[in-house]
Amino acid sequence: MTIGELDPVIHAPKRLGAMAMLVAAKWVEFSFLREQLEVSDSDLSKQMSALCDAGYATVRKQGHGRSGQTWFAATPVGRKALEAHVAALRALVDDAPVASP
Amino acid sequence: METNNVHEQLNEVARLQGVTKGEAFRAPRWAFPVLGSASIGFFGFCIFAPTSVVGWGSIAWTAFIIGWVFAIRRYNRARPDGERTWKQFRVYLGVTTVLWAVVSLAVWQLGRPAWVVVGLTFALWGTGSGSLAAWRARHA
Repeated sequence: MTIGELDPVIHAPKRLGAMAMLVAAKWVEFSFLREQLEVSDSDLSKQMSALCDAGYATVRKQGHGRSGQTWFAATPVGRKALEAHVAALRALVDDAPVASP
Repeated sequence: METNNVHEQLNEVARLQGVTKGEAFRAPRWAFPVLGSASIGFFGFCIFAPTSVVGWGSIAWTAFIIGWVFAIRRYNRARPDGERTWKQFRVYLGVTTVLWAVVSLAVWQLGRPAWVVVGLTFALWGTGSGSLAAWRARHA
């Protein structure tokens, strides 16, 4: 396993966190992602746009105005990408040399 | 998640997934007190109401339950995964059918006062199964 096998889209910690949340549910609401990832509205919008552009996530808007909600879901491609990325991370951990005392 | 440490990233992935599953199965604080109070109220009403009125009460009760379920769904900021929900739904349907048969037998044998027991039994089943589903989702 090499660093090159890590997914460049979800290698960024915030996007990795967002994808981890999306695969754990069918739909996740914007404000819940923002609170858990501890990011600003604009930062999360940017990260989610990157995931949507890569085809890893899809967006759905519900309602209008202040009461409107934005929901995100992981696509099958996104789910596979996260699975592969996490497997690559685990392999990196397993292959890491044990530090000498 | 700001870290580039692989161990910390993997731990954070697991934590975020647990939190999201928990949110998907979380019920608001008011959900079960409202259901319990309504159950006691409705089934208590059924004991004393004339038979002709009980039929309309059943329609109101069904409307209330549908509204209650939709209110809970709207409250949560994560929706559970469809496949897992369908599996749980089949289990709930099976248990609810058995429970319905048992309590129907009790009502048939014991008469109207047993309807309060029926309501409480269903409310407890809803509370218990909901809590169990949430616990299992968090620890999956």
